[in-house]
Amino acid sequence: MTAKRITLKAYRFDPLKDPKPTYKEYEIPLSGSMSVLMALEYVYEHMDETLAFRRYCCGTSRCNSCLMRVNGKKIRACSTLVQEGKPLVVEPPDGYRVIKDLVVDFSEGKEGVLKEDEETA
Amino acid sequence: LICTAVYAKRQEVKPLKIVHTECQVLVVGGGGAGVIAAISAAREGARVTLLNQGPVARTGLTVMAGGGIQVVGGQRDPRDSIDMHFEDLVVRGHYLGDQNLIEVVTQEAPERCGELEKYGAKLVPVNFFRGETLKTTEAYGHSFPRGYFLHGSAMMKVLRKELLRHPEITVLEDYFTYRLLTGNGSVGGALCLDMRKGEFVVIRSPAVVLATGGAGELYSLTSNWPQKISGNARGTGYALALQAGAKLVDMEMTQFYPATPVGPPAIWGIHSGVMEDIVPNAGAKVLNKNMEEFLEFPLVRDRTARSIYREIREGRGTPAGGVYVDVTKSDLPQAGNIIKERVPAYKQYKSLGIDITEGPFEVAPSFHFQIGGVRINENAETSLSGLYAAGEVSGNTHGANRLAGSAVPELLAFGDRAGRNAARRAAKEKAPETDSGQVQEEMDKVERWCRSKKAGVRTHELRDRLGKTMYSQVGVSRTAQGMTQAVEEIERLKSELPQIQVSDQPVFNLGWVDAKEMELMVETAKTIAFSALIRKESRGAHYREDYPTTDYQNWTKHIVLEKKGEQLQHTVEPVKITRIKPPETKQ
Repeated sequence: MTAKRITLKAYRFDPLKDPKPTYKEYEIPLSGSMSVLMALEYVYEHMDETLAFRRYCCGTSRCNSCLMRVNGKKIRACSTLVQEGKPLVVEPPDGYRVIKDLVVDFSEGKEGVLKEDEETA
Repeated sequence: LICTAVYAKRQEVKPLKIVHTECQVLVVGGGGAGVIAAISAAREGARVTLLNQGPVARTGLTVMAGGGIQVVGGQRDPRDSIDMHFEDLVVRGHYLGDQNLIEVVTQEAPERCGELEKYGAKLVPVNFFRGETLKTTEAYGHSFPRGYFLHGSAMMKVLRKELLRHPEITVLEDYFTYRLLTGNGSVGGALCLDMRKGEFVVIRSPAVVLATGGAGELYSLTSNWPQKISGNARGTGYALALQAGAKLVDMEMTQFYPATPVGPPAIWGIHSGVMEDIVPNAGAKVLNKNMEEFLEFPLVRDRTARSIYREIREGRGTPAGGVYVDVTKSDLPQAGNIIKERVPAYKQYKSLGIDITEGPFEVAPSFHFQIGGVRINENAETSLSGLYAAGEVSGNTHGANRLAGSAVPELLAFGDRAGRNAARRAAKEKAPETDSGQVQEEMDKVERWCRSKKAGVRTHELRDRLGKTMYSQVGVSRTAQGMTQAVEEIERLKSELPQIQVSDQPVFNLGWVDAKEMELMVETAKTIAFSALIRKESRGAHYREDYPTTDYQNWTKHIVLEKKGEQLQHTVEPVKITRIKPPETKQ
């Protein structure tokens, strides 16, 4: 039996040196249940150490540190499962300045109020 | 930023950039303790800089805090008192906590709760929590249900707003602290990595507050790193302090939570209150791989952890290395509904495709809280002049057992004291000239890690090895033989640190954080194993199979560690007693 695999397509952008964003694809093994955040950690640890993302997980959908756009939808990467056979395009969340790749500057909300607080309180 | 120096000698890697700046009070860490310290220092009139490894209120351990704040506040049982709270913390901490520190927590935390309310926090009195008195209070070690409920993430949102209201506080997010800088026997600032720019920053200050949180990620299973993604619990602060010359105390006191998920993988490490709600209230059964029940009731944290650990170690564990928790086997017909109502993690698990009311999941004991830490006095001063510590990184408050709902009162009381006292020092003292060799040493390491390129080792491999060693040899149940092996493995890991390989791209280079964290983790891990070998008794969180009883006659003592050159040295020192004398006979 061949191991299940998924293809993760990640947004890559270093504003200090790249003229425009690009996308890079990673094929990763899928064993058991895996969140999008776990998939990114796999890429970082085993395939591409230059991939930047907010590498923090509270595990309870409260911190919003892993807010991202996955397949065009704003979600928390820790509480979204990757699914075999489905496309997986991971981009930074809209409305924030990109620091690098999937890392954005969350501090730019009004007066330090995190924009999603209302949604997740 | 005052001046910019480009640092370049080697040709193989891009030059590392160092910038210099200064402030009066530097706060390292932006969880609860750090933010409160910054606010209190600013109120005393200091110019403050607060560094945090990520965005404040979106990273750090306080965000994960379950919500219990055990203080004797406005809403109280008429039989309860601050004296009784003091007694609970002393006695249930097995007399190892310094009583002058426990006085501070019990007396000042209620007032700090009042400040949280002023900032806009909605503290729910525990008596009215979910419309009833908590049933499990007794197992938590408190004589009465007391205090409030406020989830850590809600507390941090309020604290972030308050922090940003202070123009005299500079908040630097995505800053990772590489080293505390010292000169003339005092702390004089820190060397940090500005991750966003990929630059190293030297911040000079006459007072530094260390508020870097706990050490869960030294262990292969912890409630501090859900899904094996960092929860900022890599225990860096202990090593930073030790390296700078501060003393650590009772590092062997590492609290384990009895049952954290290990399977299915997506819920790994996501804390769910197995022993607060799922087992005692919903009646879920805890079973080994042979579907046998083995737990003893009532559920006391340390005993329960050891009994689950024994099943796993003796070969009766599940495929993921735990035991089953099965809600479907509960005798209560309404078990599923109790879970849906009471277990906050239920929804999270569900969104990850796992419905714990429909089938078993696997759990094992996990590292929960680092009780030992940087030694402080009642002013939150460490043994190193100019360095203050508050929150989980500090050491001698909880003794041998950190009671439920007691982490937040500690960070409230000592965060405030650390900030105020740091500001007072900063008003009188100037930052000492720090030794420039310290910065150079760190830069050399980064360059070496960058040069290792493809030939080197990856930090996650070292971290996995460290975690497995600490969990199996310096974990729930310890022996001299196991811990000696752990120290040997830690030394091997240390010798492999120079071969770590990282990328040389400066902006948001996670490898530059990982590699340095690995070095600090190894250092901190060593202090835990070293100290645990010295304490020849079992007490609270520290259980030794070769010394299974508590030795009140000889061991109601602190184990204090200090670094002399490359060597760790220890002294055995008395516990500070103000009111309650510990038992003197062997029990």
